[in-house]
Amino acid sequence: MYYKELLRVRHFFVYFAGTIAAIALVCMVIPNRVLSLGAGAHPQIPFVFFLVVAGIAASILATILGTSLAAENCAHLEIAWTLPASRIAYAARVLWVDVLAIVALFAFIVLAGLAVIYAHGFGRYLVFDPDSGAEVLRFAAYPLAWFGIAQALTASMRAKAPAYAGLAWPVALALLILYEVPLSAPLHAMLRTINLVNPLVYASFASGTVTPDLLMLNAAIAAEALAGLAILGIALALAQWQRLQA
Amino acid sequence: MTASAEHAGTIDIRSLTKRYGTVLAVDDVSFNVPEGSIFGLLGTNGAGKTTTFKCMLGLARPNSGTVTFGGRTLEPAMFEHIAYVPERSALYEWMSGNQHLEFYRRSYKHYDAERARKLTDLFHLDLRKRVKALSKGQQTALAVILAFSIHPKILVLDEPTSGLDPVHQRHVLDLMISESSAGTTILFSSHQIGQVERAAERIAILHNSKLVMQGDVEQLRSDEKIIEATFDSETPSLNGIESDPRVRLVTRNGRLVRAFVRNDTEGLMKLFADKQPRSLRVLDQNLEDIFLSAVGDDINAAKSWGG
Repeated sequence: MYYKELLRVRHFFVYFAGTIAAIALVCMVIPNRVLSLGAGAHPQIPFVFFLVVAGIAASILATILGTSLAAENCAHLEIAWTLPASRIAYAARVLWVDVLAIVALFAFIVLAGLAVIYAHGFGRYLVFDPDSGAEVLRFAAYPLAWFGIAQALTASMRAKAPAYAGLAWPVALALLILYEVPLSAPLHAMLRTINLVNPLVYASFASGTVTPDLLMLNAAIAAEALAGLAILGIALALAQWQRLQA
Repeated sequence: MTASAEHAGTIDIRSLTKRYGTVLAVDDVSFNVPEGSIFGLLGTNGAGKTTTFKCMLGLARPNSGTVTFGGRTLEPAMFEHIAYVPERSALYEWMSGNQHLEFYRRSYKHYDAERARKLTDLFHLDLRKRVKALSKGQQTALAVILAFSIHPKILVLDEPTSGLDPVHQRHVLDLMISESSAGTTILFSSHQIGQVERAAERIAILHNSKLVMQGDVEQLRSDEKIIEATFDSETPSLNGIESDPRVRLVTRNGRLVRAFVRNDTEGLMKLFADKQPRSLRVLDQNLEDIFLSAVGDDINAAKSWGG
């Protein structure tokens, strides 16, 4: 029953993973002497760096896949809704395969990055924070939060869905920037509330705290918040899908 | 065996009404499609045929009315035995024909790969091509192949010959007739009245969202005769024929006058003969005559039953 969904995400996954693999291969063949790890006797390569890169790249895929239900709604309901399966089961299958592809890409990018590091013999310079485990969860959940938001925004849309999903990024950035602008207290409070569902808030590069002025969170709580956003978005998307009937 | 199991292929539509905002797309439509029959749904563009199909199959939510299949309301598991070919292709343009067949093989218990192969040969379809590389007719053919490959008990086909060449149109009609003889219930729409006339045993005609006529094709044909008279004058005087209770409808087209007569054709022939037409003959109705008189050619319509 997953056949069509696997075919669908394979196309995107191969494109993204292929690009990452090509970049990793190029990095691997670059001679060590060309690479600079910075001055000092003890260069450091933070592990979280790979998580951030993987999280951002997987978020791009997540935004694209975030319109998968809208794509069904746009042109394929006559097939999707006349299959001998419940609509919710069908939609859940679509979303589940999307989530798997996003997580797989995230893992692939992290592993590709580590492969480059170890290929150059720099493994000993890798620095793992005490909460690296929580950071893995945080940055793995980050693209899923984007996915949830894109699905929640677009599940009942048709052709305009990709534009709306794409707009979620600049809007999220604008909301974050606006929060830093001196505004009246009520407006500031409102922006603070809205930003609670802004994935960018939970993806600070700094380990331990996330955008301190906005929210004082550690990586574990940020991971939970991002996972919550993903689940909420997916639930909203499924609810829309169920009510989609014209 | 229960009554509903015996007639699992029966489709019953009662008082179906569907509005899109202020637009009434289907207005209180009722008809019954007997199991194993071929039923043609005719109508002008926008008459409500596709909306009726969508309401039947749960693709649109009717405002009122019921649709049952073998006495049961639609549920997902029933789609194991119901196939739908929509008017507009719903195929996945990024998938190939082969991938669609595989998708159906994994989705339907009764998918028949051998049948799909034979149908593919029949329609000369290159299954390696992606749908986006197929012509409209080829996409229609693929949708037809998929629908027939699951051995449905009920087939709903919305313009199933759209875009097909005459040879492949004939294949689709032959398939429908063959499938019906094996017990499959077929409900289809087509703008090509000749196709409906060839395949359908019963028809319903929709016009302006309403059901304006339905019945057995042979019965409808024999219900009325057409008296066709050609006059020398452009505006022949019919002196009371138009209001004769035996006449349902009189249409005029220049010198040509056609009267749709329910009974006593001979008596009316005498009335027409008194008007001294250049030629006079009695014709059996064909489906096109029935359709045109049902949808009311406003220019020519002079009178209809019941005002």
